[in-house]
Amino acid sequence: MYTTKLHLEKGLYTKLYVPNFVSLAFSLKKETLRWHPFCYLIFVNTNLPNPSEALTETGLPYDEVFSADGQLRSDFSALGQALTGLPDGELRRRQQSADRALLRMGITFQVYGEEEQGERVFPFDIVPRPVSASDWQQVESGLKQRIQALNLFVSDVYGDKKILKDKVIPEEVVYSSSGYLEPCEGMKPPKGIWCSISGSDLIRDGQGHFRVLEDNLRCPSGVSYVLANRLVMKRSFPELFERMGVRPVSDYPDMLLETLRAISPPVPDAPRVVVLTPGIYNSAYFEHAFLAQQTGAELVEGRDLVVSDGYVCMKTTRGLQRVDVIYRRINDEFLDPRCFRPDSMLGVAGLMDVFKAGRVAIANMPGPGVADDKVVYAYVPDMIKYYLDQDPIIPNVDTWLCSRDADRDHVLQNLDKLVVKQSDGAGGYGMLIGPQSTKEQQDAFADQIKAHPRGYIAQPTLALSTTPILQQEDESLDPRHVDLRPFVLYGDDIQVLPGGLTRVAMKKGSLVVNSSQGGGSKDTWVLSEGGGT
Amino acid sequence: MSSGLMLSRVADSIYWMFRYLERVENTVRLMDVNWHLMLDMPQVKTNEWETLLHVSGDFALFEEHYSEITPENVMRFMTFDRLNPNSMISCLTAARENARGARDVVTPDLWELINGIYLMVREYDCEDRGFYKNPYDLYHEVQSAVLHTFGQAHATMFRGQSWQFLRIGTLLERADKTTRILDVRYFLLLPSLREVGTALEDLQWAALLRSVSNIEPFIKHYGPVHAKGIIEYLLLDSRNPRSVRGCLQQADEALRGIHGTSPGYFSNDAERLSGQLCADLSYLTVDEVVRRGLHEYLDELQYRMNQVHQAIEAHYFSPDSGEWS
Repeated sequence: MYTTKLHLEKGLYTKLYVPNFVSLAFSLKKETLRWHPFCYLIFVNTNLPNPSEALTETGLPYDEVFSADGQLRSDFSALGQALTGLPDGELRRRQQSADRALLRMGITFQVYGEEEQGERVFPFDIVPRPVSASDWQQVESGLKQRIQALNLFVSDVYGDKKILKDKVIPEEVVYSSSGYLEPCEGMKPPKGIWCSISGSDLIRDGQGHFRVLEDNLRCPSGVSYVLANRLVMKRSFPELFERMGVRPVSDYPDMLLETLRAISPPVPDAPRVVVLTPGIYNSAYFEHAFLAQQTGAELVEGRDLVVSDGYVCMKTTRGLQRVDVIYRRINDEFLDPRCFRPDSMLGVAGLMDVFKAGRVAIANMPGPGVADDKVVYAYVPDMIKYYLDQDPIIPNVDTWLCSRDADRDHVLQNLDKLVVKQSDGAGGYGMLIGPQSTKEQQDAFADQIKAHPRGYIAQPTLALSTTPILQQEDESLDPRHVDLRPFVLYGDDIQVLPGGLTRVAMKKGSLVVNSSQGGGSKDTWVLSEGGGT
Repeated sequence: MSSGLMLSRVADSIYWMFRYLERVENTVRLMDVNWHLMLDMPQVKTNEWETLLHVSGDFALFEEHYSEITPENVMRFMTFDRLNPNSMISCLTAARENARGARDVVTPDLWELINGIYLMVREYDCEDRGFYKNPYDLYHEVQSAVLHTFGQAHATMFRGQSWQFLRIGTLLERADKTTRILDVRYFLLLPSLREVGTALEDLQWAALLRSVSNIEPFIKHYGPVHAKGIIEYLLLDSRNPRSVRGCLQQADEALRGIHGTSPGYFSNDAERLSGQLCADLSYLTVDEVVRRGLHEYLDELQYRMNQVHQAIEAHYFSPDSGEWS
């Protein structure tokens, strides 16, 4: 733990620190995309016998705010002074006031299977998570590079297939990806944009280096929490914003609308944009409504839309009205029962035909999920090289593919040290946390891996970086593991929102943390040049 | 939307959201008035509480679930019981669900108010004995909060279609509630109509007026309470914002506002039925109501208001009912 704000002198911080080695794993079944931003797993191992190479020299995870000797990192001295300079009780008061504001705003989510208990508030911690200007510069350029390559890859897969013909990525890897959608073959979205809105999940390793943990190219959620958190933080720490030069995120809705309009079919007036939601019982409904409201788009459900005379129309109090761009927040397979799942009640029958006729645009396109697959993920650095002739600016987490003979041998020999995941795995099922597993579990996995090599990948157990959260009881700061989901918009330009959703494991030492068990969020403060000090 | 368009589903949500809010406001006022009345007449408790169940039309449902009509049972049933679709908590839940369904149209301020009332009520301890001894605080707080949302909407809402549907929902509900309260109270007080002047009766008449609106303007403009005056005031006097005629005239105006139809004309069934009803009310006298029988007349009125509702639903809310095929 950190020292309390009353004892910030040098040294105490490290003495009291109990290291946690952590690996982050994914419960998110992408095929159904029943994902919401807080439903993820963090596995914490407090006594890892063989700390992986990713750890710092001192054997501690990288803390983003305090250096290993307990000092505030120089980029963030203003933040530290502000937090410690408050009168007793003030931090707690601000936390409580922020919590009340979020509850009133209805920033809640529904846990599947617990509907009768109503919505829950997404826990929020008021200590911001700062990111220095230079770190952000790298994140931003790395994400732009990555989405460019991913978008080219998706175009290629459903088009000329050059990368497959050149054997950079094995054909079978692509076609066996559960996100590959055969009906998308030959489709050509406007301006070649398949992934208008994406969000890759980043972590920082033991040296504090950013790495990409996974890419979300379908319907990444969470940006509304970024905006809502910021609103609350402005009320909580008005004095800090100016001093620290926190870069604003409030223009996201404008950027989003611009991005969506960029792919509209040519129309005489301003394109009519709609947000397509599964409805009020979807866990991310708040976000859908929020984005619609902030962009001025109409929030529609599938039952509000119909294909009529070759156009997609919405049913209004003044009859049918044409729709030009659909920002869809329902899964690929539900978009059009004639094209994908015939039992879909959420989509619009005939939508894809209208799309092919160039009379409506869809963001994101169905299909990019092919690149979300955990095996395909391992080839993203190769894609960057192949399409852009560049080295990746943000590296992947090291990944061994069990479909490769050499990798598989390595994995089988090191099952006690690695995290093994199913390549399209759901929940914690099909996952092995090596250092925490029994010999029997390892043997069972070895058998499964040998039987279905394509189905498994392995990664090292990583020490996720930490950042302080507020302990309300005594107003002390305590480190918790975090990850980061920035949002990237691909329109006429590629733009990265300076910020993102910081997800934090709020509970200390618990083995599995997801939203229902204390996963929370923080406001991410990207600082402008020279801002934090 | 810039072109003044509105999704049918959203129009439906706005309409119902405000119907439910209005229903809540009526329910808590009715409960509160009744509770005050009971303090003045300890000897006739049960009858009056039963009356409340008839107003909302939930007597049968109540009997299914409760063995006895006691003040506490009725309060619980009308306030906290989720089995009763017209209870305060059920209506608030429904209002909030509808608000969520239209969240891109409902302003954040308005949403926060509605969500705030819901959260306040949800966390209220319905087992708290203190509540049944003195429900005033909660009822008063809920009523104020609902009126606050009306005020917020009135002061800030964009005067587009959502505003019109909001008004129609609110006003049709209000008119409907007025007819029901009048009907039930009048029916129960009928025997005493001919024996004017007991203290008990004055209390009940006063309670009737308070259940619907304020009593003070009535006394100022009509003098001491009398049956015909009350009928005039509650049914026909459009200066009374809760009179049936006043509500329906405003609802009619809002309805025509959607299409910009001039007064005296109509462009669809909803406008026609509503206009017809308003015209009838404009030329109606209390004597005619009494001649036709108040109960019979109120019945007809409820039927016709329901017709207007159905026509609105068919024309604006139900895309499958022909216009879209």
